[in-house]
Amino acid sequence: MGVTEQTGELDAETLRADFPTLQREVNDRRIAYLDNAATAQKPQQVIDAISDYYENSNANVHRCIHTLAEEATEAYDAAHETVAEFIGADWDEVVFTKNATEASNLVAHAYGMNNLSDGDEILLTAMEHHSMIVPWQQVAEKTGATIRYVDVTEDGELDMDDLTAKVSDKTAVVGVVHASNVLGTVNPVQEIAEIAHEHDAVCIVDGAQSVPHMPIDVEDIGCDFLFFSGHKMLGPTGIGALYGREELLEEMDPFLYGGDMISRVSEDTAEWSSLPWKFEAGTPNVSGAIGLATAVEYLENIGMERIEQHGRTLARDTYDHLADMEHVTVYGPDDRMGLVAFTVENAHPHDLSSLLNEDGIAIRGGHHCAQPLSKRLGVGSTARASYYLYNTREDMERLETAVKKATGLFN
Amino acid sequence: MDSLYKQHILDHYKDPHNFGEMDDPDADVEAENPSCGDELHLYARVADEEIKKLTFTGEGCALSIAAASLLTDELQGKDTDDIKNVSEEEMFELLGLEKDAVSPMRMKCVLLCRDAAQQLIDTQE
Repeated sequence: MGVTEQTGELDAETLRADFPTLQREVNDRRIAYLDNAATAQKPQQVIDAISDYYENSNANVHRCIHTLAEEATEAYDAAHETVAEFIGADWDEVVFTKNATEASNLVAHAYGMNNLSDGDEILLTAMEHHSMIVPWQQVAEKTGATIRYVDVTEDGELDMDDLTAKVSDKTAVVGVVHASNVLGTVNPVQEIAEIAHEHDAVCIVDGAQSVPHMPIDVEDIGCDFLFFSGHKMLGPTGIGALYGREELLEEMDPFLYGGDMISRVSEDTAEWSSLPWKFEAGTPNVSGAIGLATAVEYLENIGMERIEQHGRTLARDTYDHLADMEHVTVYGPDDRMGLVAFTVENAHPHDLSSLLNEDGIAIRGGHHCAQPLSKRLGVGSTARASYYLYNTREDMERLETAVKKATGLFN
Repeated sequence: MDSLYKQHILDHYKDPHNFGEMDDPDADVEAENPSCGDELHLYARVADEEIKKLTFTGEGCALSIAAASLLTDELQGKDTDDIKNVSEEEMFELLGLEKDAVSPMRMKCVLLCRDAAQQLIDTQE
């Protein structure tokens, strides 16, 4: 692997060599991939682990005694352990899902639909991703519960006074995004979980933008649920995970029903398998789980503190440099994770994306699946540059040069 | 690589022709492109199956606004039947772009106004 040292600043240029997609050129320029909040690129190690599984050990899991099945089962179960350990959970508290959205739906359906009723309140924040908002809208509609939103301050921080004012004994669920995919804000999830518990509410944390970028310990946070996706953390698409506190997972009904999630089935009834299999119906994404576990090992080898620091430094410098440019507006607080959302006066974010792509720079333009937040910011959509461990100072400087060029073209 | 953002396109984006609402139009239609969030409102004055006047309002990316500006110029005084026959190639010609310069995702931007104009004629029939 491309790690030259395990302490101090990470060497992004060396790590970059592990990623085949980053070796290609786009429009005759070395690609500067700055769309990591949408999905991350995959290191050769992850690609090889997935190929190795299909070339050598492919079999169904939890069913058979033959050698391939035992190897596949062992690798699949070990992936649960690796991922659980990565976030400070016990292995049977981690359920593999298709992605973060499916994990969010699992909680909304298996917990929300069965435990909420008329008069209950669901407290979300104004900076949630649609993956948190939309499933709970369905719970509200079906159960008669009401959704309330905690405001965001002008600086792009969560308004904790507003949260304290809106939380009450009616609150049954508090759902909060750990790191905002638009503002880069890191929310005080530990404090929020504590407030939720004072009111006997469960606390759900959306870790889609935090788990890939910073050390996470669910015990420290004290949340009841936390979900994230594999593809934003160097793993493949089609695999995500839900952490749930054991006691709650035990009490909950399954989400999907069928094979592998049962211990016994008669013609009329069935009994559920133990955790976490009760929530993993059907043949699971074995190669995805192996790929995700390999990604976790890759990240751990580098160190999550160093990865966080690297992203924060690049984003902070980008934020400062863009804020100094005429015709450019940046969004969110000074203290931020590794991403920057911005707009250029008179330039549509999709034109910015197109223009930057002409120079081989990949950014996202749009509402970033957080339309209620876009509305509060008063902009239809924004452009967003998001960093990861393989992004270099050169990537950042190319972004800044291209944005500067755009300010001239459109103004 | 040849840039999409030629002076010609930028000029029509910054200062679009035929931009504005029309009082009592004979036909009008709203169109949107959800991928870019473009919104276009097209208004027409029609007499004897001829486009007497065409204007538009809306917000959008440079490609969709420039395309609307150029196409509304092009269609003034044309027969309504001519609108039905505006091809993709003609849209690229108006914009001065090679077809392969525009990615599939941005095709909707180029064609938003043309599709709206064709829809507008359909409502007249």
